Amino acid sequence: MMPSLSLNHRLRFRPPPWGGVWPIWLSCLLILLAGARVEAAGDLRLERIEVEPSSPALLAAVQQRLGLWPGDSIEADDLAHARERLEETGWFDGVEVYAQPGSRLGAVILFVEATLDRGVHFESGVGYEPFDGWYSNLAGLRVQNRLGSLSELRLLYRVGLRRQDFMLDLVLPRRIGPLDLLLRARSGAIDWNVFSGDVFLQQIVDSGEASVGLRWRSGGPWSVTAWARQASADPQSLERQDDSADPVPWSVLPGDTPRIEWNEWEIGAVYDRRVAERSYRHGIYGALRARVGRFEDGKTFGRYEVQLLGNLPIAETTGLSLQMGGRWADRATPYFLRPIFGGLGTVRGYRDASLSGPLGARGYVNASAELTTPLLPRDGSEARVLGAIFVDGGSFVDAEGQWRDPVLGVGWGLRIRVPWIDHLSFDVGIPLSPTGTSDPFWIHARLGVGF
Amino acid sequence: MLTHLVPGRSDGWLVAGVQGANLLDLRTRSTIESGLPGTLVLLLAVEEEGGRIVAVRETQRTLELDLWEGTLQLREGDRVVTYFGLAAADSAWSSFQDLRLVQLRELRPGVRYRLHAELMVRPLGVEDRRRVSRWVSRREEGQRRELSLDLGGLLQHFVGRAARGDQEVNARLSSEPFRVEDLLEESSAP
Repeated sequence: MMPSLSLNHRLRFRPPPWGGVWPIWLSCLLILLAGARVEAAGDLRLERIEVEPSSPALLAAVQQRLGLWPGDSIEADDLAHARERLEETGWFDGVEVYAQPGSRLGAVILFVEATLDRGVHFESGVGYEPFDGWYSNLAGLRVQNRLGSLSELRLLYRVGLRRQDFMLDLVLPRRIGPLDLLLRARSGAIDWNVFSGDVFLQQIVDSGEASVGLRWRSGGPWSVTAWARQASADPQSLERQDDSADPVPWSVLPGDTPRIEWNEWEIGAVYDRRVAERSYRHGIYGALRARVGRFEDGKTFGRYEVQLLGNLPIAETTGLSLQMGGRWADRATPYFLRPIFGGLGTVRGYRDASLSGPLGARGYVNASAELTTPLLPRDGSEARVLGAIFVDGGSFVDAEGQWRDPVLGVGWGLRIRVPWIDHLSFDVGIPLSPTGTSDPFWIHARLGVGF
Repeated sequence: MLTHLVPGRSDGWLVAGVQGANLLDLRTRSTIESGLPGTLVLLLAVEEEGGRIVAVRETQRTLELDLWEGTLQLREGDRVVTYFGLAAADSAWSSFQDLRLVQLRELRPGVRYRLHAELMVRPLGVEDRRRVSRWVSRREEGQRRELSLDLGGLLQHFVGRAARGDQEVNARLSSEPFRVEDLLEESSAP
C-alpha cells in the first residue's frame, strides 16, 4: 500500500445530492468534443498503411499501435517516434517507417517494413491496471511469430498487490477466418482487501480459470472479444495486516464460504483511438463488457461495465483528460468478484477499495477530470515533467443495494518521463468526503500519463 | 556521404565546417515529398591525442515540404529557412558552417586534436532511445500497461554476443590532426 502522512487539519466537503452526477454529464460532453477534435486536426490525410511482410494481422496491429487508420488526419509530431513505438512492442527485430505521396495532394501512404522477431525471450517486468493495482511479472517466457505473424505465447509468474498467479496466454491472430483465437489459463490467488474501520484485513482467495476466446478487429479502431471460461474460487483465511494481537473481525465477511466453480461467458467491445504521442491531449477510448456466470447449481450472476476516456488539447501544450465509467454486479455475484470503490480508477484521495466495504459494491458510477501541462520544459511536447490537477467524483451502491452519498476527491500530481520506459505518475489525492480510514490524503502511483 | 570536415577558429571558439552530399535516400526523399519531414542529425566530437573526448555537439535539422505552397522549409531550432526546389534544399540541408565546438582557451597549445563527425538521416524523426528500447517492451490493453525487460537479450549484450542496437549512422568522417595554433581565423568550411 502507498504510504500517507498525517495532517493536523482535514478538508471536509459534503457535496449536494447531485454532486456525483454533474461531472459525468460534463465528461460526456467534453469527451464528445475530444472525439470531434481527433477528426478535425491536420492538413495531411492518411490514404493507407502498407506493411511488409504483408499480413492483415500485422497491419491491424500496426494501425492500433500507431493509432492511425485510413482517412485520419495526421501531423508530423504523431509520427516522429513511430518507429520507436513499433520497436518497443517487442514484436520486431527491426522496423523501418517512411512515407510516400498518395493519390492526391495531401494524401500520404505510410510504409512499415518490419523484420519479425522469432526469438524466445526470458523477461521480467512490472505492470499496472487500476483494478489489479501494481504487479510484477516476476519471470516469464515470451515466444512470438512462430505460429503466424504476431502470434504470441506468454508464460508468466505474476506477483502483485491484488493477485499472484501463473498465467499462460496464447494469441493466434486470424486463425479462424478474420478472428483471432485466444487461449488463457491462470492459477493463483486473488487478495481481497477489506477495511473494517481503519483496520486493514486481507483474505486470500485461491482462484483459477481456463478460457478460450475469439477476437474480431475491424479495419478501424473497433474490436470485439468473446470468451468462454471455466473458473473456480476458494476463499481462505482472513488476516490482519497490522501488528495488533486483537482477534480478526470475521463477522465483516460471510461465514464459511465454500469453494465454488462456475462457467462464464463474456463479450466486450472496445473503441480505441488513443494517440501514443501527446496522449494527454488527444484520443478517445470506450469499452463495454458484459459477463454472465453460471454456478454448478444452475444459478446465474452477471457483471457489466462501461468506460469512456477522452483527452483534448487546451491552448498550446496543456491537455484536459476526462474519464467516466460504471460497473454493476448482480446480487448473486460472490463478494470477491464484485466491483470495488475508492482509490485509483474510481475516486482518488481514498485507499483502494476503502469505500465499497468488506463485501464490495454492487455497482458504481464515477467521473474524473484532469488538467495536465508541461512543467520541465514548459513549452515542449517532450517534457520530462508534467504537472496535473484533478477532481474525481462518484457514487456507489453498497452490498445491500443502497445508493451511498456521492464522494469527491481533488488533488495534484506529477508525471515524470523516465528514459526508455514511460511516464511514472504520482497523485496526491485529498478526500473531500468522509473516508472511514482517517487518511487526510493518499498517494497513488501508476504508469503512463492521461487516462 | 560526408565530403568535408574542416576545423577553424572564430571569435575565440574552435569551429567546424561540414559538408555532406547525396544524403537524401529514397525513403527520406519520398517521405519529404509526401509532406512529412525528414530529419538529419549531425554529431561532432573533438578528440585529444590519447583518445580523450573534450567536446561533443549534436545538431538536428528537419526538412519539410509545404505541399500547398510548393516550398521546402529547413528548420534548425527556432530558425526556419525557405527554399524552392528539393535540390537546393538538399544542398543547404547538409552544409554546416562555423559550428561552435569548444572555446579555444580550453584546448592546449601544441597538442594535436581531431574532429569526428557522424551523420544520420531518417524519414520522420530520429529516435534517441533505440539502444535500450531493444530490451524494453511496452504493452497496453485498455488501462493495463506493462513494461518488460528482456533479460536474455540484455545478458547477451553484456557478454558481447549480440551487436544489435548499433547507431544507424549514414556517414562518418574524421579530420586530419590539427593544433590550435595552426588554425586559420576564418572557418575553412567549403
